[in-house]
Amino acid sequence: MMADRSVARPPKPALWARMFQERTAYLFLAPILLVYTAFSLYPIVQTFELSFFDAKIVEQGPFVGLKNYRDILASTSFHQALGNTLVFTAGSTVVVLVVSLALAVLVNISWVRGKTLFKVIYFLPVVTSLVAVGYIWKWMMDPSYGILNVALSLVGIHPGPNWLSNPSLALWSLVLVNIWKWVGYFLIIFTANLQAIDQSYYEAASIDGAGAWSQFYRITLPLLRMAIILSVILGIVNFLKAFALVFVMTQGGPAGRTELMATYVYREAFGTGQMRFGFSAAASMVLFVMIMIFTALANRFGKAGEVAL
Amino acid sequence: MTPGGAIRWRQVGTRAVVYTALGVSAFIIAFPFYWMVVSTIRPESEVYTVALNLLPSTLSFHMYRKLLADPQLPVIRFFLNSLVIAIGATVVNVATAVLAAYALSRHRVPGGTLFYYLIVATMMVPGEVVLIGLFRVVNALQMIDTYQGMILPLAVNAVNFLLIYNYMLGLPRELDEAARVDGAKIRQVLWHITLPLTKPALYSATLLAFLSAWQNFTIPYLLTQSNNMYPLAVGALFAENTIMATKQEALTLATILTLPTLLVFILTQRFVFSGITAGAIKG
Repeated sequence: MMADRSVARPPKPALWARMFQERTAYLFLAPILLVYTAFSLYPIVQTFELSFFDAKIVEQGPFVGLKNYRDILASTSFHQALGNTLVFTAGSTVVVLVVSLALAVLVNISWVRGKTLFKVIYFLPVVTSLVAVGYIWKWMMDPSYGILNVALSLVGIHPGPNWLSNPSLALWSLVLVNIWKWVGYFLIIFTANLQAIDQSYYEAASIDGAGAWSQFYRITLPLLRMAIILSVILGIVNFLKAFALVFVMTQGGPAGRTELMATYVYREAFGTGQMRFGFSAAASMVLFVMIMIFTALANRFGKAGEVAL
Repeated sequence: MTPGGAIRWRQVGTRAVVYTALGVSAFIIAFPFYWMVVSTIRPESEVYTVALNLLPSTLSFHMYRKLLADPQLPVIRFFLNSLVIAIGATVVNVATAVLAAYALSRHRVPGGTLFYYLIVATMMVPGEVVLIGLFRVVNALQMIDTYQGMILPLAVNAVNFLLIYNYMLGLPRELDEAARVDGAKIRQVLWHITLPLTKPALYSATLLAFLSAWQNFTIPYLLTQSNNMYPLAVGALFAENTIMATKQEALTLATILTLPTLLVFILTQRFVFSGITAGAIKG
């Protein structure tokens, strides 16, 4: 301790002096802080504040305390949207991850040709606007002219299901489309992680006589553990905020069976004619807290740098 | 039937199963694109039919001609709006990210950690979560129905900041320091030394920013009111809801909306993939 102090060090400049010294750095930071604060951080603060007011569009209205939160808790349509969102998110996440992991393992097999071609094809939906995705699938799921039901009638299933207007099927049809949209994204994450696995593990295992399945369970899965955990969280965060697909394909119907949290918030604020901004803001905050919890988990388990697109 | 022969047959069987699984999956992914495009370039009578016609009998581009001439549906205007918004958001996103990443990765700025977390925290508030706050802010700035009103919210994308920041952290500092000692100004160092080395991350970030801004529906849908400000994604929905476009018209709009991003992606897939996996590999 004493020795430390006796070492001659240049005196640490005062805080303001260091700040002045780095004035160019502050200048460089100003634009991003300005834009991100104005259009992301401040809006969530605004939403939080509004959730305690009986707000209508631009007027703030009177302070109502927790009334909006009590209202959403008592609202059956909110419960329905919340339940739908959980089903949509859980269903999408599980299937997307299982399918993308399986395909990633197959694509990554050393003798498979055309790896890049497969990856590019699987990725096409990821770079396709959800509005277009919605139109394509709405057309294919059309009860009379859609190719799904036309094909089903050829194998004797007639009439085919009402994919989007059957109340107990509609949400699952959306899950199906959502899976189609996102498999390629997680496949790319998984193939990158698979390529990082040292091949000598597999060589040693085959020498010991381990078959393909036991190699998958004993080597691949454990080594991909972090990538899988991270992908689960990224999937959840991404699917919780689903919006465009519902807007294009079902408008929340039939009978609210495909209403999700984000579309519910939108409709309550801008769609019903009642302009319940405060109520809607409270519902937003519930969605925000769910996303925040999973994002915090993602940060705990690794870099959350993959919530792109 | 030697044992070697049995093994060879088993290998052929395995390969057949693997290629079938990959091929069927690729078909399921690719077919809807084919079906979308084919439905727009065949005669209308063939679209609404219960017979399975995988190939069009004749090619017909009447729908594209009709849409381009439709005065109610300014498709070219929609397309240009999409372009302006996506390019604007990309430029603002990448430029602000580069400046901030440089400042935070090369300089020990008092308060730097706080700024870093403020930037990264925006990942928790996607547009879909702050619809109401965002609407009020953009409204208060009188930016509803303007390009800047859509470009600035779409430019918020901290993933790209992280991509560039992490890349810059991995670059050696010696070059910067040598240049500084030689009397170069900070912006000269950034422009002539750091940026050229950061190119791969910049390409990826630029592509990811463009692809996601072009696709985005929620923000322009929330923040536009007049149809000549709509980007394609919103214009397509407007066409269906307001002017009762036919399925074929809607699919034609979807095709026009889809092809640019598919094309950009296919030409640049290497950078798109490396951008997505940059932070995703865990040792």
